[in-house]
Amino acid sequence: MTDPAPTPDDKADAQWLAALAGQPDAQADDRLNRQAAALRQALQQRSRRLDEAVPAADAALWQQLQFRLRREGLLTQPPRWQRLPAWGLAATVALAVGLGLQLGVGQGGWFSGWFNGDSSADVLRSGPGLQLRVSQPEARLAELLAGLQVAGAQPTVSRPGGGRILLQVAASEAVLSYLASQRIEPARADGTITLLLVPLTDQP
Amino acid sequence: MTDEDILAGVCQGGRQQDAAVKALYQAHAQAMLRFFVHQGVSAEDASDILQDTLVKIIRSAHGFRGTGSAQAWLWQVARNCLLDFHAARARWAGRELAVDAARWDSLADTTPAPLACAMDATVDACVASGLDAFAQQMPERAHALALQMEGLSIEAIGRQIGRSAAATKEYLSQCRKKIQPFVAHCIDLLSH
Repeated sequence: MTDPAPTPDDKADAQWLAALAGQPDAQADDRLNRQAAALRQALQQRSRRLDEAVPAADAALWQQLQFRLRREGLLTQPPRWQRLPAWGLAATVALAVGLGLQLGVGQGGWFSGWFNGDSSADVLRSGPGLQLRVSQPEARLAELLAGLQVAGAQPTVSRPGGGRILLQVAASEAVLSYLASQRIEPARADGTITLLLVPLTDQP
Repeated sequence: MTDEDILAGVCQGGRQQDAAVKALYQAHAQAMLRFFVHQGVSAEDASDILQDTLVKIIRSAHGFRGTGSAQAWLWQVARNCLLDFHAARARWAGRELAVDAARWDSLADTTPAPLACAMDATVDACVASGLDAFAQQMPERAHALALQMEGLSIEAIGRQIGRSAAATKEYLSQCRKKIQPFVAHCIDLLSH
């Protein structure tokens, strides 16, 4: 069966659509071409205006999605060492060796519990900021700094002593989203988030 | 990785699923965000709808039978999520409208009609105004016309709007007729 012959209406449609796509038919009615050209221009302007509002499918959005997928059990949770960037891992190893030499292994020092398999998860304590009780503050710091950097933040770090690390960062959606992906839900004070990393051996 | 590979990877679970999810995001996230915003959704809502879409794709990837195009199937899920969003919005708007019905009636008497652009200085401004009103009432048709304006093939437009090539041709023809009440009078300004 062959297609029916095109009607004048079909031809006008084809000419109008071609003109809309920027390829006007010189044989087409002038008014048809002018209307399609004006509409093409309006569509282009509208498209440019809307494109400016389109969010970027960037690392922050990807991180939010990963967080949701992990929460819903649709993505596997990588082991912690894989989440640590290479330079962070190197810093951790160097720190571990340094601390091991200083504190001694198997003498009731900081490392003894660690080598005995005490790999406690981070412990959260509330307060004016948020205390994060961790087994390896420097390693955790390196991990958090890498993530916050991806989120476009510029955190400040200070070390008040006793192995404690104070991390402050301006609260933004990307930062909160990243911290949420780390299961950290901090309080905000004047738009700033304060995290205190405290060694697990340090009693509150 | 093709869309078919992505869906197959998602179904396998584990590391392969993780890689497939990343490939899915890299291949389609930006285009879907653009699609949602061009349908009149805010940037923030577009991000939420994108998440819903990708979650739904991952959850129901095993439902893809491989009889049609995987890309068409992915866009079908995106369109469904957009419709769910609009339906939820409409329910809320309905509630708000019920509360504000009296105020709305009083506004309706004073608000100029969207097509009252006969006084616009130029044809371009008149057409732009008509297009905005059209897009507000028929965002899907405005999007289809935008894809045609971009010079996409009938098949490519069809994949985004979920229709066959023949049905897309017919749809675009209908779009031309539907937009006429919004812009036809603008051309009359040329003769003035």
